[in-house]
Amino acid sequence: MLSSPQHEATQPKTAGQVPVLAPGHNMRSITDKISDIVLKPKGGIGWVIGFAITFALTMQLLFSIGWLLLRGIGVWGNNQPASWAFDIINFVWWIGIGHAGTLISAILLLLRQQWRTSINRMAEAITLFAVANAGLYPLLHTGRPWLDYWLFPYPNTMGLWPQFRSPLVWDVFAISTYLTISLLFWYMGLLPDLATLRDRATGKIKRMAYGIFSLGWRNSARHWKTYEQAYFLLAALSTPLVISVHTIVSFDFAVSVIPGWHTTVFPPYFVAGALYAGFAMVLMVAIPVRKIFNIEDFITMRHIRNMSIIMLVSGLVVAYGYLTEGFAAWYSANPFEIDTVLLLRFVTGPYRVLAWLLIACNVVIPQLLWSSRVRSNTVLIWLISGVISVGMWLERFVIIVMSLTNDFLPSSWAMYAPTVTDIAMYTGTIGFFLFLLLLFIRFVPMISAFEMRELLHKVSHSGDHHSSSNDSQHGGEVVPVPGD
Amino acid sequence: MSNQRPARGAAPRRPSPLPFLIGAVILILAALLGFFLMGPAQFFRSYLLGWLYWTGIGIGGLGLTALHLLTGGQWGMVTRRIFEAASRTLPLMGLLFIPLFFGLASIYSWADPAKVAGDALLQHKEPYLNVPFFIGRTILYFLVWTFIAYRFSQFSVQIEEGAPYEEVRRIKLFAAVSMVLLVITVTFAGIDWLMTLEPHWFSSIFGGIIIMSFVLAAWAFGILTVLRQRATEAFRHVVGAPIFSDLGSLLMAFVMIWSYVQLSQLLIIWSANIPEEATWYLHRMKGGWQWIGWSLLVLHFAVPFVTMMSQTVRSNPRWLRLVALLIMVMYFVHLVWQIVPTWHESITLSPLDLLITIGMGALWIGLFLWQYGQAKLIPPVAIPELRQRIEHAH
Repeated sequence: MLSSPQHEATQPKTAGQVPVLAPGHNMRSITDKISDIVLKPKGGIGWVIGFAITFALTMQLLFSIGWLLLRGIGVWGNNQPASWAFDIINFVWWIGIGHAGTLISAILLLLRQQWRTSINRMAEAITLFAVANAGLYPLLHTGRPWLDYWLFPYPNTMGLWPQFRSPLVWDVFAISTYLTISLLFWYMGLLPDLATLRDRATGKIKRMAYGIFSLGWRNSARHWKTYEQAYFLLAALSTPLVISVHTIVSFDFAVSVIPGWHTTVFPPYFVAGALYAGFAMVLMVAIPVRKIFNIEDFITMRHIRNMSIIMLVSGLVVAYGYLTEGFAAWYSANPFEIDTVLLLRFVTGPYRVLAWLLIACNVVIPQLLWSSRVRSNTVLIWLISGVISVGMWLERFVIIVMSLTNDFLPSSWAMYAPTVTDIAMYTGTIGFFLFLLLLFIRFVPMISAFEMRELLHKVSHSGDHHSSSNDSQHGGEVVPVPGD
Repeated sequence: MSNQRPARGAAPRRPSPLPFLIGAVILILAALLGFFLMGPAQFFRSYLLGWLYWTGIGIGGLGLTALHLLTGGQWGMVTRRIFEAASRTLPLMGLLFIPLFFGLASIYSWADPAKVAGDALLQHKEPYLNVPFFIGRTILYFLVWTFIAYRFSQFSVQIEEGAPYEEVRRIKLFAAVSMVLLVITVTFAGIDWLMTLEPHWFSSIFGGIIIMSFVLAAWAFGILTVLRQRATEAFRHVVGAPIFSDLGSLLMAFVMIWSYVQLSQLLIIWSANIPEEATWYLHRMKGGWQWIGWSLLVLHFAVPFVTMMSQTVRSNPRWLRLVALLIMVMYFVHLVWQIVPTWHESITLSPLDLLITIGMGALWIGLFLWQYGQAKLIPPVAIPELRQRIEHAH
């Protein structure tokens, strides 16, 4: 719609640009390559070691949750005044990471950006796993998670309703809807490929398992028609949802009167921050995965470069947020704003090193991405993505902990430090995230095979300008999938 | 302006004197009315409104030109000359700001030493809010914008004529750096010209709101210009339902972003309910101003948003024109709602507000039309695929 490949002739000529799909592929080779990763796994030892480590970390997560349930919130470092700490930092961090997946799969679909095709499924999986981790924290932070259903407004004998004016309640709605839609979007996108795996699987159990999960997909024209409509609809639904989630997360802070939390630029700046962290995570996963599984033909340098550019742009928006926040704090002439946002944060406060580190990680170092030489070096991009992930975590620490520990009254000032349980749980969620990711790579095609075939069709037919009609394409795609 | 090289085949046009004449007459009339009848303060205040209305379209055009250089897309092929021409009105609009230098004290209370003397907050802000720095900043903004606008106009023709890859990369880098500069300068220009009208009040997203207002206004203006010419020789074969649909979709997207930044500010200030911030809204939510506020919600957001949900509306030139016109009107209403309640507790619109906006508009349109004629309206390189898209849709 807004730009499609055959129109690129009028855009600045990008000679020497890497294609979205390396040449030399046909329908069969694409399907073979993607499904073989699942059906004929090679060199399993690395996977097994990774699985063992991440499984151990997942157990660590479960253990720390068990300990928390047994002993209560006191095992965390949260105190008064820092009643929000690691739990909310990690909640915001994880939920932000999820946002890139939706941007890639939904927004880029609506914008008809074809380069999304080979990375959308992996990015969506990252979304799901990140949101699952994020959801844990506020649920556990309620203290008695077995009563978490009280968060939903339902008629009850106590006559109690949640406070509808509180963004914390909006979070419940926004995140649960987001998780549901993301799951549906991801699963629905998987159906045709699960059917391919069902048809290609050799073992009976495998065939049955993929058969059950592919919900009777038969590649019929009617299936495809319904599928396309539903997929587009889900994309259109996800787009406002993804914006709403981080907007509401920002409201959690901004509607209060706490200096450093209450500033009007928070919503767009949080959304940009979420995309920033999200793209960093997608790159951190995609760069090693494409190497290990030898799928550089599908996830080409074009993808890596485009994602780096989006990361750079969202990082600049975040930097703009810091700039206007700082300026508004000074301009407000409110001593509390000036103290918290400028002086304590950067000059005199106990955590000032972290604030400067945050500026280095989120604002200074990522400017390297301006250089196209850096953008074609995967190792550097991977390192920068790591720096950004750290930076975005620090940002949440700085916002949450620094504002709470330096309240209006010096008498309510206190320091905060995480406990062993805090750290065990945080590293546990990282392990759990990677654990799920390993399972995903092993059991589900991590690249959408049928969309890659569609892309191949579009790329090879881009001369005759038929790419906008969908109906003629899938007929051709059904054929090359051997039924075994 | 004379260094703008006319593209091959385009007739370099002389500026038509008529709009300039009309504009000058109206503005002189307004000045006379102001100085002899309504008081110079009213003249300067109305001047700010009328001047900002048209300058904003120029700034928005500059931003959209930068955006298109960076992202590409067919929407820009039919609109880029419009936005480039709009952005080249900025040097003159900068000159037209000069009269305001003489009336700052009647617009901005921070420019009045007597008021600053009794106000601790304004004294704190004095390093930023003082007359010489304010004037210096405004001059700087216009220098930056003028430079960028003229470079962009040259670059887009270079790209169309098939500049080599290395050259295009350099241009894109320039566009990216310009975009960063634009966002920062427009943010501070919005703060300077509008936010400091109530110098105690502050909002960190204010720059974002102003940026979106300008972009939206320029986009609506671009749509109206395209629609006006759609039957002409240059446009007849290259615009049609698919292109209108692109223009409509982006209009809707900009309306949504505009509403989003507005909501961010309103909800956060409403919810926290701190006196120092809430006053700005309180001034604009009583004495009849509340109806203007509600009209923004309904006509600047809800009506355009709901109507443009329909694909038919987005691709139908008649509907599109109505929505774009509505946006242009509401852009004015929004500026009035931001500016005028500073001095008037109850709803007021001075005849000078309208008169100066019209007079300034005549000047601006005259300048725009002159600039617009200076290069091929549709880049020749884009014509084949635009035609193909239109034909394919039939």
